[in-house]
Amino acid sequence: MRTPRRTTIALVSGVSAVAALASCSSSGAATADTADETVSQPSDEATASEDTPVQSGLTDGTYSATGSYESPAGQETVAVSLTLADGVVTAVEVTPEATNPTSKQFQTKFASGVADVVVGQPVDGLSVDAVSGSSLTPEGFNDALAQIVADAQA
Amino acid sequence: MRRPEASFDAIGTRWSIHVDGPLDVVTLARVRSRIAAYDAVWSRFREDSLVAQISREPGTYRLPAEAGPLLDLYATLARCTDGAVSPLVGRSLVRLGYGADYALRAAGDAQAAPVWDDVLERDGDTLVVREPVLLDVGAAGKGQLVDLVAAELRDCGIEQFVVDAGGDLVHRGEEPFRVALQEPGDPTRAIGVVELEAAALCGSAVDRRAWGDGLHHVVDARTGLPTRDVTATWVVAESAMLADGLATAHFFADPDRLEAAFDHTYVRIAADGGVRYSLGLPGELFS
Repeated sequence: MRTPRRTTIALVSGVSAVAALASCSSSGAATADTADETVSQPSDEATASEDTPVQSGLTDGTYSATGSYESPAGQETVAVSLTLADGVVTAVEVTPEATNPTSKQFQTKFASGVADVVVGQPVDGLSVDAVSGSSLTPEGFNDALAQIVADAQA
Repeated sequence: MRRPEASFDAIGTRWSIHVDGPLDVVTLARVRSRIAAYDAVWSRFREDSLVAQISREPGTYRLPAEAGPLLDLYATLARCTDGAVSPLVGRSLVRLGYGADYALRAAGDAQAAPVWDDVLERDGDTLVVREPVLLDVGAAGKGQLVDLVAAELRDCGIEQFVVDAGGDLVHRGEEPFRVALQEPGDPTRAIGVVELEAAALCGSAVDRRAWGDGLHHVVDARTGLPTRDVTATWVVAESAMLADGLATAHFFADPDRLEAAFDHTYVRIAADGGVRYSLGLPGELFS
């Protein structure tokens, strides 16, 4: 897929995704893929780009860490960069670093893109077979809505 | 397969069935019959449905075979969204004005949905209703019906087809089907295109089925209020039921959490216009 030009951050949140695994997939709904690897806490290689250490309060800045974990294919790593502004995480960038193809696939699976905005194009100019949006609404709904508008204008 | 072989209106939406060659009358009759049977059970807009009966009388009910997978999915989506997604939002929607009479006016304060275990007990296809409750399977039911129609086509020996129920689609076959993602608020524009191949695509948006200030059909079961943070979602998944249910869940849950639990890709448009999407989405977004 074409990556939007205005993509501001690309994020992979493998760690939070694994935390989420425990919370809602216990019913067996999880795909078989997701349980093959576990991500441990990032190792102690974190380096803050600003000198002030993070203690009780959170200091703004960009922080980077490399997380390592044991996969069935051996040791793998994933890089995480996180930006704090006013104590709030404003950007997360995770770079898949796995060397094993399967591990790389897992790291990429949890990758999301973020775009500030998308710019609509006329459907007429696109070569498409169908359009998907909100479901077409029931006729009764539309009729009632038209009636309410009419009442409001009366 | 570009042009539909059959189009008709059912369950309040426009259906198109695309196949190679003509669609025979027996197959089409089976499709129509399957849709009618589903509606007779699950519609909350008709007095004679099973759902309507459950909303009037406590008791023990036998559910059809499709109830198991549907309600199991709802249970998992409820866990992934901390209870925001629930099939028990029927009365919440009626309170907001979206009932069988299409009042489209809120009747008092929002009403949270009851908690499943407080009012219902299900064992396989047997449902014990302790208190009358209004089921609304709007989040995943239409998708499931698309899958059931697809199953009818397969049973009739059709291997390559597209079933399109008002923008919720399932594709089976080799040649991809290109689907525009309609821009919220403007049916003439698209924000991207998905190349659908042997998969299902479902979308949910709050722009069209809205009837007042902040009133629309995607309701948080915990509060009974329409959600405000997200305006549109699309999901590509193996089945339309899953895609449909996840399209609703993406209004409420962190995408990572849903991606960890279900194999799918998504696009989510927030109220501020920002977009988040799976890098693995089969298609492109315009930006």
